[in-house]
Amino acid sequence: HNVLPMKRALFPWVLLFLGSELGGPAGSSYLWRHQSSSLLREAFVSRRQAEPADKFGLVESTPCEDNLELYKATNRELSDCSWLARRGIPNKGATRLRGGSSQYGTYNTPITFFSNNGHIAQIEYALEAVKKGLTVVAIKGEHVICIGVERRAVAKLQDPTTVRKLHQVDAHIVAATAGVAADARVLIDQARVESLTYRLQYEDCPSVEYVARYVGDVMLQYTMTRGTRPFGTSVVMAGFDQLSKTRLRPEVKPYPVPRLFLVDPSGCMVEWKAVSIGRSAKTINEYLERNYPASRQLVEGKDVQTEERILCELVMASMMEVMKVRHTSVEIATLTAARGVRLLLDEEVDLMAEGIDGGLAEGNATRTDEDSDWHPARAD
Amino acid sequence: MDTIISIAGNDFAIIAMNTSVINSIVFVKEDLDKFMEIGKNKFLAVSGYPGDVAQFTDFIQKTLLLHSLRTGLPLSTHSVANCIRKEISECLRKNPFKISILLIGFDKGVGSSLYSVDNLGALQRMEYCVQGYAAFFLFSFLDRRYKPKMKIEDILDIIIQSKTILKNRFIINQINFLIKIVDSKGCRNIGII
Repeated sequence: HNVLPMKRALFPWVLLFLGSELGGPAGSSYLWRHQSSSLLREAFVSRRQAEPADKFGLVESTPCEDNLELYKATNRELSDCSWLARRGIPNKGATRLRGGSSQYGTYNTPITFFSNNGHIAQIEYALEAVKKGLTVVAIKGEHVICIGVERRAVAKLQDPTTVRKLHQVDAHIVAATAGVAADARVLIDQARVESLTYRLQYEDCPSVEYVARYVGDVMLQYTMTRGTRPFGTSVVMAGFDQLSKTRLRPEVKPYPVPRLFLVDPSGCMVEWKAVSIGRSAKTINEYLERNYPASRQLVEGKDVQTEERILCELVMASMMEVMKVRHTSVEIATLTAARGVRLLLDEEVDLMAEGIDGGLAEGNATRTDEDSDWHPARAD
Repeated sequence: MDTIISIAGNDFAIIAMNTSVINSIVFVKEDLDKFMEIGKNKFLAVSGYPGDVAQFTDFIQKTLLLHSLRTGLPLSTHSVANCIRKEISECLRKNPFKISILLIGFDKGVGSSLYSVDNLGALQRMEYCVQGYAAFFLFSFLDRRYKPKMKIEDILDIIIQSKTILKNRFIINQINFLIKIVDSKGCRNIGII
């Protein structure tokens, strides 16, 4: 032991030199046995700094066995090592995944990671996909909900009746979607099954909020599961509920109350008085913010048919901000508790549109017919 | 045991079912409408073990409603009958399960139709049918009295006489019969006898 003080000055350098030279288990274990732990840590740290920064993502690990021995020797926390390393199998030239790993490779990694400033990129991109979809405007009154959807200009050989944006989810619930059409189809189907399951179990119709919340839950699952992407659609659920008295809602109406919910790709469900999604949604939402309160005043005390007409006109006027409103470009539906869904006829749409704009149902036609070539994968 | 009597005319079909609910020796209820409306032009009458009846009827009705919401198209009586037959067969092969159904419906090209599925899952389209213990008493009567293309009044007369036969010879007093009709105008009640 009187040997130690003389060799001490050499140790840091000797370690590096010997580590690379000897390279085998015997050499490193010899070094380990005869060194203090602080020196070893020092050496280990300096060696580690030579590796590239591997904070985010994949790292090419060096096929070096004494690296592995050092890991084992210091009893280092092995969460950063690959599955192979933990079992003592050299990982030659393979990539090492950060933050957990799996023998199935990269398919199991969720793509919906948070970024360092709190955003989930995939969900925001999904919202962008929704903004590419065709416009949907939904407005609720006292006894009526009115929904307007923009119609796609279909390719010449296509049958326009199969391109649907308005879906009947249940006898008293209607949904309109904007975004990727295939995703919408799946969500609406799930909503239908859930609504009827509720009916089967409780012999009573589900509230619109229940169905909207369920759709939100489905959408959320797909943002948190491995190997899946978020849905690329927003869903507007409209329907009527007979609300009951609660502590927070002490005054209830004796008739079914219209309710309007928006569910977006993050799974977030919010109730709205009037909402628009799809392209030009921002413009239309601003228009509605300015004009919706006035429509509520107009509608007070009027009968259901007048209310229907007023709300349809408001929907059309808001759509006129961004496009031409004609029966070929727009589909309007009204929802009442008594009669259910009613689609406006082509002539009605044209007449009302002319009436609003004094014969020139042009509005601010900012949109061109750029989408006449339709592709299945495109947003709808 | 519930009694269901049904006769199909040319473009209408009439079905009558007893309205009493019996549990061992007690009348639980005397005036229950046990029919299930499917779509706008079909009636389904189900008899058998009470729990199976309730579960099966609700399940079939909601399944067919889901189908119509998904596809936006109504199902024909023939399709509904086959769907029901398939469900009954599957249920039978899983658990003890005993129900028998009578389905009547009106379709535009076909006219009225009557389908019977018995408790072993045998589907048959018929012109007149009786289910339950009453079949032992009434089939021979209906065999003699039924003629093709009968009028509503004659058919109702047959049903009233059937009730009299049961009252005379069947030990279980099934107090009232509710009669319904299906035709081009849809599903309607006729009355209680």
